[in-house]
Amino acid sequence: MKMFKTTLATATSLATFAALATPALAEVTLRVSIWDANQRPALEEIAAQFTAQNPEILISVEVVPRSDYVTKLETSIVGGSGPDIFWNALPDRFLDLARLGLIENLDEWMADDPIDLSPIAPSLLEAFTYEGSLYAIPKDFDTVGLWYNKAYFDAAGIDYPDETWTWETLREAAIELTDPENNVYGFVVNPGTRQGYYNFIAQNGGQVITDDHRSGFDMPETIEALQFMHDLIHVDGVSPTIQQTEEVNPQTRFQTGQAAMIYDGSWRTSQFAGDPYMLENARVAVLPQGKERGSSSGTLGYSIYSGSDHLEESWEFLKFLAGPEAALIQAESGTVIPSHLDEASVWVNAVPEFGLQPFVDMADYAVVVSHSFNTPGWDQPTRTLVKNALAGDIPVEEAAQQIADLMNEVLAAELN
Amino acid sequence: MNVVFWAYVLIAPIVIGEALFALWPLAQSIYLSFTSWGVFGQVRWTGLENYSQLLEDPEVYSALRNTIVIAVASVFGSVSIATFLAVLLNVGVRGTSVYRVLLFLPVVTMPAASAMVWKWLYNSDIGLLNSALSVVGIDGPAWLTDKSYALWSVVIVTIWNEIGIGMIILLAGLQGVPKSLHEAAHLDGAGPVATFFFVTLPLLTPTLFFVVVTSTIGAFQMFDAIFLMIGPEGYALDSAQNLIFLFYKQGFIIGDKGYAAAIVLVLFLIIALVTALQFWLQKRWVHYE
Repeated sequence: MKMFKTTLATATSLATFAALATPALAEVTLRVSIWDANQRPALEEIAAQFTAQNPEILISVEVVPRSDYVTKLETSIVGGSGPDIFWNALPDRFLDLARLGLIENLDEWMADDPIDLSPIAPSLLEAFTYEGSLYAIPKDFDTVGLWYNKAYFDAAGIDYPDETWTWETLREAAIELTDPENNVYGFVVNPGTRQGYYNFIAQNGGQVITDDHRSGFDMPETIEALQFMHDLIHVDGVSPTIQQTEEVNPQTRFQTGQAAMIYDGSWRTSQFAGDPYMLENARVAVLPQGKERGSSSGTLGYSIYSGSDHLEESWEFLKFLAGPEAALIQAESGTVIPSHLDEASVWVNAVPEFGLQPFVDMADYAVVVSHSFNTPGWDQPTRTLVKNALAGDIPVEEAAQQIADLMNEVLAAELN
Repeated sequence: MNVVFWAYVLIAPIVIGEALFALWPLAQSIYLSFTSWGVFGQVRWTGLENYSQLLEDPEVYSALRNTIVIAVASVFGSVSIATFLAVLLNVGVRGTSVYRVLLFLPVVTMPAASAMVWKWLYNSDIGLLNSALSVVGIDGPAWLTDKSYALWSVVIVTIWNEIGIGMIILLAGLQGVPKSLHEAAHLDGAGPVATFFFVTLPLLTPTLFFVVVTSTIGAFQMFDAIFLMIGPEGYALDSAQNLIFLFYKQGFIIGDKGYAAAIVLVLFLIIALVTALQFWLQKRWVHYE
């Protein structure tokens, strides 16, 4: 018992000492959670500028690997210790965070303290709107384009892809460019969502989730889009099979000169820019048109955690993140296309060789990545079934019907 | 009285640790398995719903089948190879310590690193394995992306991984077999094979029993080879995933933690039953001096 008293006394004196040591002006450290280490330097520069203007607010950037990000965010928020500000991606848990009031309704803050959001593309603001209110400030966006290897086009005497291209042009060029003897494929069908079926479905007038909150996989347009992908592999033979793509991913095949064309995102730029072969030969065009134009687009936004102890300070930093200085620093880093479209040219010129302008142009008709409250509940099984259909294990139509059924079950349940 | 008090004090660290990090989570998992766990801690009691879903889920049955195949094949494979190697090393081959290190290396190698190497070995285009097979005229399969091979590719890596630890423990067991018994067998005219089966093996059974029980428990929970070589989105995943992987997928990718808890409890019961069965059966074959 005596020992306990001594400990208590020590603790008290330590606390007193700590209190004396605290400067009169209370410093606050905000925790900002992101997942991409490549973007850390830009954010730290933004933070340094902000702290220079607001010396009492310090920023600590925490990078959590993408694969653990959502799990960690979820557990830390359930445990009441979420980061003050964090990156929010639509398919992760954006709608749930907004619905449960775990992130701040930014319209309420802006009512007292307006900020100018006019430089930000309206479609991005709309993407982060839940029940009429804004819940995240979009920081960037990405689109998917047609990356092509111009050396193969030159050798075959085919014109480079441009905005006149359609699915049929893509197919014909891919047939021309496929050269089994030299192990070159004209095109690689990516079985994933963003670089794969989300584009084809949108271009064919199909939908992943319909406007009345049902699965769009039983729409004839969606099935036709999947069938087109399937036929590129199994009828035209211009693409490696799904099994082959599991072993060597499309971007590696493209980077090693084994594929003349792939669908890939604007986010691939920094990886390809580090490769002399790519700088010399890789170029970008808008995606070929189906029945209509379409490109899968994603966006990231900054949200404020409602459980934060420093809401006022977080709001101050969020305002700065939404402003022109932050957008410029981010654009100059060349990592992502900034949400401020006026600064997009800075990103385009960061790697002039590739001709990146099509990625920005496609923003006009880009389709924001499909999501609902419980995206993971249907997304994972859908990917598996699409892979099986594209591999030829299940007829496309049958797989699409199975996807529609399981999605409808999840979509119906999440509204309860 | 004082003795009893101190006995409790001395076992307290392990009891508290076990309660905090094993029993309490177990209780939580049992509770969770009767709930529907939405995101951000939205827990709702659903009774036996998860368990009835489990009975109707074809993925559970295929995962159960894969779990059993992986466990039986890898325990049988690794224990028999480990025994064979331990006996060889015990005889005293030249350079025993070098072999011991080489065979034990997989145990201390980071699973992520060894999985990357195996992934490359298994590659159907550029992999060393298929190149070696082509030398003898065999056109090797796509080991990790062909649905009829993926499970066995995983089993091979698991065996390779388990041999080292079993071998070291068995070697220790072998060195505990008295030399005098071998000499007696030799005097009675027993050859090396007979000596092994009638003297060495019976005396090794307690060690073998330990190795079999621990590697069975490990094999039932094999996760990293599947995760790293085939991946949660792998094309051949359905043909290779076991219950622990299905638990991970449901709980941490799809986010249905209640259902995941039900799956992992089934696995827990299976492991408990198999271990109990092994302890019951040991009377028949384990020979204590």
